Amino acid sequence: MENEYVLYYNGINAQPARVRALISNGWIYVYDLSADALIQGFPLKGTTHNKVNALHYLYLDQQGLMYLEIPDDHPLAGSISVQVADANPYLGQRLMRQKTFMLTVILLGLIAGLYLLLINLVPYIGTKIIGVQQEIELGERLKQSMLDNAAMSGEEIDSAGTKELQAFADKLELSRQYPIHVTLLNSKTVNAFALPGGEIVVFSGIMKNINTPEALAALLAHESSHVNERHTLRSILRNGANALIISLVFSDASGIAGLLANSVRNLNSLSYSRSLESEADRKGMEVLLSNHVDASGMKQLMQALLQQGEGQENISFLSTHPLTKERIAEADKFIHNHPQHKQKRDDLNDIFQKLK
Amino acid sequence: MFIFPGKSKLMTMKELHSYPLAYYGKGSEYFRIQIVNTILIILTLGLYYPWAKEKKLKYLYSKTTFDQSPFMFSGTGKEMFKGFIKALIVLALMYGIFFYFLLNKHMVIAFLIIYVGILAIMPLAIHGSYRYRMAKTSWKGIRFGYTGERGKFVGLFFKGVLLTIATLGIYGAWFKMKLRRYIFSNIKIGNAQFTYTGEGADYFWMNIKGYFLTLLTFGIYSFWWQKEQFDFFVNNLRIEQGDDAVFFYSKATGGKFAGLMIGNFLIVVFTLGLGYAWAVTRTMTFITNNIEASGYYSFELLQQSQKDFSDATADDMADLFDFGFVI
Repeated sequence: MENEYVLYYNGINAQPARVRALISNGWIYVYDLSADALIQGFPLKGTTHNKVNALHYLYLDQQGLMYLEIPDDHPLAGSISVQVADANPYLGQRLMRQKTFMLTVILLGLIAGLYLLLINLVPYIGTKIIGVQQEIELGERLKQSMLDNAAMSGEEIDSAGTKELQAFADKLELSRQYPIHVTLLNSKTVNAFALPGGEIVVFSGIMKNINTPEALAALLAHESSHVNERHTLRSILRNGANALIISLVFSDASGIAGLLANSVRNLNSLSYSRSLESEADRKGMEVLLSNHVDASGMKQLMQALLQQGEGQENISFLSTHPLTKERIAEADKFIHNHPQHKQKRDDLNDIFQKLK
Repeated sequence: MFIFPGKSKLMTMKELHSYPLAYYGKGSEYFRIQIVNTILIILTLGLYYPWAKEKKLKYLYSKTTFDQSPFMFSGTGKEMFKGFIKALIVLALMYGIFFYFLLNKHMVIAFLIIYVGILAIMPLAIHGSYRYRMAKTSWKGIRFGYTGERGKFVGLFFKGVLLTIATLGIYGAWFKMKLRRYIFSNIKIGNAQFTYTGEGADYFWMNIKGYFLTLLTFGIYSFWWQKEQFDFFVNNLRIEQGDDAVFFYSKATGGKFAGLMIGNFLIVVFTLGLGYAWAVTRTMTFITNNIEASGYYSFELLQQSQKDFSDATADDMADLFDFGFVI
């Protein structure tokens, strides 16, 4: 037993002394090797264990200044880590004992659960809290800042066109809750978008591709459906929740992981926006029907854009929703399932001719 | 007095020692710690963060050895939690005042408060962070310490910021080296002290060279630039006690840096971030394997002489603002 010494660092200088150590009743006692006199006893509760390169380190005080260095073949070495762990329970100790694979599964499950919860809860609560009036105000503010941005890149409002387009929209009942305000913007971009609360912005680029009043009505009906279903507001809230979760999960990771998470988020929001688009298509066609406008206007709109789109790059209306062929098929199905009297609305046609 | 005995005492003491640095952590172990940390952070809605930090730092320190002895980090989650709450309150107050002025349309005052606020917090956070981290770090039972004075450091910081702005950034290199010299020359381990000797002019020209060569080689030189920055840090560092010193030498090469960084990038990307723990392990191994220390000082002569310091507010502040630890 005499040669079974361990090294003892006393926290006063860096020169270790050879000592004997004994564990009994939750305490560890350090004895002088030569005189066999007790140097000091320490409760195991409060000690820390570390093993590096076949040596065990037992830190005896909370500050880690006094410690024992125990070789792996010493009788104490076998059980020391378990004894220290038992004397110092901590949160997550049971988790630490699980298999790595199990831990990964738990973590991924937890993240997925949290993600699904927040991604649905935030837009749900948000749309409950934010009333129609506030949404209208938000939309107006967003429109103003977007128009300011557009003006900086030389895209101005077409006032005369806006008046005609508004008149066209007023001939239709597009929304029950929201006042629909249409703005026509001079721009090559082939696009149109809806803001919360009834603001719709149409770029002149898309007007060039629209050849029938029914297709124009379909465009407005589609955008109005985004407004009615509060899609933009829901997207904003959902993106906010998304950003929050990603910053929480990856706060510890490097920039690369963050970048990656960002692109995953974009992809995700794209698929979310697709589901919103097909909802807007369907609801839009319902709006057309209730306004006695031929629902195949939706199909005409998409086909016109699809043809124009070949070889062109700035057709954002399609690039955000690339599955146009699928959407045309959906529109076909809808038209087939909803038989209608194919009638022309002359009032719409008159305004449409002026716009052209 | 050392002349007459056959072997002078001085001669036997002055023996050249070489001290290896090493990292013994395993990616798989660090991964488990990170996963359990993340699970508990999620379940506690973030409150576990300071304890997670304790677990993480304790692991990284305890698996790093100098001269075969591991480092010890004795900071606790409880201390860091208190600091975390205090740091959060400061942050909330600052942003509260910011939004108050913003909503009352005093844009200029609002942004002034944010910029000045962050600028004022930065030196305090860096200074306090070093005080806390060093006081909680020990090796062979001997505590480290940072003995810089807050007033001096803040003064140095603001003078540097003003000069950097006035010289359109050029003074930045001198500024950074001044801060580094001040901080590292105030770091102690027991009765021995660190000294840093990097000069602004050398650092400036090294970075000018690095910048232009990186542009000319379409980024390839950036690994060699990294190596030069690493060398500049390591080779200018030493530990002194009395007349004796231990010097640090870098063994890094640009090629090794390229391997480390490209490898880490691929690991993180192809594991969708889950391989982060292995990237950290590779980095720690790289750093320790590429620093060599040797000199005539024997660490057996170390005496405990630094005080304890348990206020983690500044360390948490640096965390919240993402300032990073090493200058």
